[in-house]
This record gives sequence, C-alpha cells and structure tokens, in this order.
Amino acid sequence: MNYHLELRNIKKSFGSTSIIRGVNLNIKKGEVHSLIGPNGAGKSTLYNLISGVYKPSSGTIKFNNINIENLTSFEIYRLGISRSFQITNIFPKMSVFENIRCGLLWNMNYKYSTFKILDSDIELNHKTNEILEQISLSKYAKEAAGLLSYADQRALEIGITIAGGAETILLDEPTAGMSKSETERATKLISSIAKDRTILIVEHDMGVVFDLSDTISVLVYGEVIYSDKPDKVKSNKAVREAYLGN
Amino acid sequence: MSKIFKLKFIPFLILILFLLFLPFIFTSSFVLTLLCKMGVLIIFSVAYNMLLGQTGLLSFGHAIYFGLAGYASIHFLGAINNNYIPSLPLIFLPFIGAIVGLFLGIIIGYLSTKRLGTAFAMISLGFCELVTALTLIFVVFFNGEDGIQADRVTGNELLGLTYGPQSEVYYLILFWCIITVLVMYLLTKTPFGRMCNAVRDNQQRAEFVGYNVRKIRWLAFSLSATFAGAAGSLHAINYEHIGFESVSLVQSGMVLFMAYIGGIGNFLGPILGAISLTYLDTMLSDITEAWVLYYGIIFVLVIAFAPQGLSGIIIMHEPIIRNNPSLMQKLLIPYSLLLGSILLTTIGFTSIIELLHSLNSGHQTLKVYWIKINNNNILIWSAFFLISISGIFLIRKSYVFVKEKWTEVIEEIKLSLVK
Repeated sequence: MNYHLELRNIKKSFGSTSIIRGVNLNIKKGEVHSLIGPNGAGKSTLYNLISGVYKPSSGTIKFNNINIENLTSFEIYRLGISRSFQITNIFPKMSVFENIRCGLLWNMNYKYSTFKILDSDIELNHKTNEILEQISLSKYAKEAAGLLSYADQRALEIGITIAGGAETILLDEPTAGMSKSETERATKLISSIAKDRTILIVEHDMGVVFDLSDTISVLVYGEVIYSDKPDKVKSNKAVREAYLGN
Repeated sequence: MSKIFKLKFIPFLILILFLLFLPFIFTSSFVLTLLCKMGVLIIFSVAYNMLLGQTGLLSFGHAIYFGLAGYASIHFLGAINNNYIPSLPLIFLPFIGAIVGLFLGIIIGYLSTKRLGTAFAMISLGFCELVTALTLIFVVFFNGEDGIQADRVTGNELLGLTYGPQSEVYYLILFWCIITVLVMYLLTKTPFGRMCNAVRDNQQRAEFVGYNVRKIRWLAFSLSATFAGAAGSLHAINYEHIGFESVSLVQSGMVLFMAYIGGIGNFLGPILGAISLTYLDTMLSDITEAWVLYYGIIFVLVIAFAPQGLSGIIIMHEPIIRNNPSLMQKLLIPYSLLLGSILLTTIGFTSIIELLHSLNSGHQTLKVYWIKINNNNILIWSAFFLISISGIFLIRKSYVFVKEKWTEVIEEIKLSLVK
C-alpha cells in the first residue's frame, strides 16, 4: 500500500546519543494522525526530520512517493508539507496581515519578484483576508504580530502554516500553555483545517488527541511502540504502561 | 482625490519642488557641494539599510561597492577625457557604478551571505580591509594615497548642460537621488522586499513559507551593492576625484552611523541620518578640531538611549497624531524641559572638551559658543563642570517627567480605542 507520508527505519543520532531509533510510520492521505509519547521521546526531533531541519542518520522518508529525507526545509515545503513549531514561530515585527500574506506568496507564484507591488494585488489581499477570517484574527490585521496574545499568536502560526496551500500540516503541540477556552478554540480551528488536509499532530492534551485523531502513534524512547485507532490505543496494555497510565 | 494620495504624494511633490528651487536660494558653491554630498550619501545610506534594516545583515564593508564604483567611474571619465572611448553623457555614468556594484555584490555576496550574524559582519570587515589594502598596493589602478581624478566636463551632454557649474551637478544628483530612493522604496513593497523583512524577523519561518533564505540575502546584498555603486559614481562626479578613504572602514562606518542615527527601523531613517550627519560633519569640522570625538559621542548616546534612531522617535508619535493630536500638547512642557536639559548638558560638556583640547594648542584663550574664555581660569572650568552636572541631573528629572506624561497619553489613547 502506498501511503501519503512514509517513514522507513528512520534513525537519528547526535554524537553517540541515539534520539530516534528506527521509526516506521505510515500516514494516510486526509487523516488526522497524532503522535504521542513522554517528554524526550523524540517527537519534535521526528518533526524536524520530516520537515528537513535535520537530516536522518539513516532510513527513508517518502512523501507522495518522493524521497524527501535529503531535501531542505523550503524544498519540502514546496512539495506540500508545512509545519508549526513547539515555540511560536511567526514574524513578530510584521503586521498580522503581512504574516499571512508572506505565507501565501510562494504558492501564488510571486517567488523573488522585484517588480510586483503587493498592496495593489486584489486577489492576494483578498485571500489574506479570507485566511484571517478563518483563524478569527481579522480585527487584529494591522497590529504587530508580536503584540498578540499567546493563543492568537498560535492561531496566527496555524494561519501561516495553511496559507501556502500545503496538503500536509505538521502541528507541534498547538494547544500547549493554553487555557480551557483557548484550547477549545484551537481544537475547532484544527478540525476546520483538517477537512481537506492531512494533519500530523504532536500533543500532550489527551482530550484534544482523542477528540481529533483518526490514528494515534505512540513514540517512546525513539521508537514507535504502537499505532492504531484511538480506542485501540486507549486499551493497549503496552501504551498504558509506557505513557497513558491507568 | 483620495486621502492616501493627499497624504503621501502632495508632500512628496512639494518636497521635490522645494529641492528644485534650492539652488536659487543657496547660490554659494559651498552649500551646493554640501547638498550634493547629502544627496549622494542619502542614496548610499538607503542602499545600506536595504541590507541592515530591511534584511538584518550588519556589514562593516559596504564602502567597497561605493568606492570601487567611484574608481571605475573616474577611470571611465578619464578614458573619455583622453578619447580612448566614445563620450557618454554624464547622466548615464551612475549606470557604470551600478553595474560595478552589482558585479561585486554578486561575487562578494555569494561568499559572505553563506554566513550570518557575527561571521557575516567579520567577513565584510575582512573584505573592507582587503580592498583598502588593494587600493594602496595596486598603484597602477588606484594611484595609492593620492587617488585618481578626472574632468567631469566631457563635452557631450544632453540639453546643453556642461556640468561645469556645481548647480548642474546638484540637479544631476537630485535626479538620481529621487529615482534611486523611489525605486528602493518600491522594492520594499514587492515580494522580495517583504521577504527581506521576513528573513530579518524569523529565518526559520521564512524557510517554512517556501523561501530559500540564502537566496533572499544574496539578492538583497547584490541590489544594495548596486545602489551603493550608483552613489559611488555620483560621489566621483561631485568631487572629480576618488581616493582610498572612499573604500575604507571609515566610510563604511560613516554609512553605518547614518543608518543607525537616522533609524534602521523605517525607510525614512537613513535619509534623515544622511542629512543630519552630513550637515554635522561639515559644520562641526569647521568649528572644532574635536569633531570626530563628538561624532562618536552622538553615536554612542543614540545607540544607548534611542536605538530606534531619529525617525523612530518621530514615528513613535504616529498613534497620538492619528488618534488624538491634541494630546501632543500634554507632551510639550515635558519635552521642552528635557530638550533644555540636554542643551545645558551639551553646552557644559562640549565646553569642557574644548577647554581640554585647547591645552594642547598652546593658546590660553579660546572661543566657546561665541564667547571668548581663558583656559587657565579655574572658575571657568568649575562653572562648566557645574553646568554639566546640573544638566545631567535635570535630564534625569525631566526624563522621568516625560515618561510619566507619555504613559498617561498612551493610556488615554488605548482607552479611547477600547471605547
């Protein structure tokens, strides 16, 4: 079977320390796939490997049947994988509007143009406003992104992530540090963006994970110990012992 | 007529008209040369800020492109003077400088934009020292410390211009200043310009919106060097001479000063910096021999207390003017007190420096602020010390007052926005 995103025997070591020790992961097109596991399990490292921040020590990563393990981050992005980060990663000095617009530029074929004046492009600005509406940040469009509240900055980051039209989105702890109401808002936003995309999500809030996921993989000490539907993961003995508890 | 047109274009047109009439107001050659110098340095500092303020790359060697383009332009003029090549109207000479700048920018930029931060700055410093050394070693091309010269009157000019009189050079520089600054401004509005800001703000995120950040930095570097090269050509035309100092660290430092003091955070900053520092440079060097020291002090004070620069100070008032201009009245007294205190400290402090400096000269009398004083009178020394100390004390007090009033005004604006 051909998967949308396939990780085969991925290993990553920093010096003599092995962080990822032979991960196999299959992600189907259109599913919400959660990656859970204790702190230090290697979840963020795995994200960094998929998104080209790190190169694996060995193993292959295929996206739509193309090997991506040796590509750079921007090349992987251009193929259709976008991501958010554990620590909010936006353009803090630019306006909220500019943040989203920057996310749109490459996909709308502007590339490195030195001729096109962006303010006069109606379609681009219209699309920017649409995304701002989707992430409920239209009223802050002119504000500097760095001045937004934490939850709004996270929403903005998701906005930048989806702006480029990527078909697969990696979300790294999107609700970390949020209040209950903020988490609910973020969960709704993730559900809405998941409708026509494949989502890989790392999250510690089990409520969010079991609410959103089609498949859950459990990563412990650099290895995937179990991967299945949420109810099966919940009742799996090995997973309960290693991570979920009783 | 739209509001934006009124707000942006009418002041711009008035400014251009004013600049066109300037040679009729100031007819002296000295003032015209000063204005020409300002025009050249405006282009250079805005070009430099494309790198520093827009893309976040601190270069200590940007004078290379300015100076080497100047050398190329003088050689080009020399070749025309000697009939080695056909004559070219002087108005097109900045293209030669721009091409030289672009060429060097592509090569040096390719090597230096591989690195970021301190490493990038160090590479630029290395190149600056290297090129300065080259200008002194390869006498055949650069003529050592004497530099090279050529006659800008080539005899084949458009519209009957000769570029003999300084006023004609003024219009040439004004023309190029408007064109290049406008182009550089428009560049900030393009995908390239926005992505320069994106790379400056967050390189990792810029990669995750699909951009090769190295390519952005390289492009910014090359374009910045191109405009610096055009400025170098105009500098060569203005002085009909170019020397090693134009590629040196001093010139690179000067453009860094201009950008920083004017404010790297917005487009107008380097323009303000170039105008104010060129004026200060010329005026101070006429008044005192210690002007380089004052220059350094101004730089340190701006970096320490107003890192946003002159333009940043002006622009931080924009929300007040936009929302409730009458609130500016509340700041009038605190600002006057702060400025008065700064003035008092400046008088006291600069007088002490002048007194100290006069001890070297062997003269007992000197003129400070239009008043003749004796440097062997202890009372005068004490008076200036007292003025300086009271000035510093008053600055501290009035600064707290300014801060208090500023917070009050901003809170008032926030409240009005919430309502």
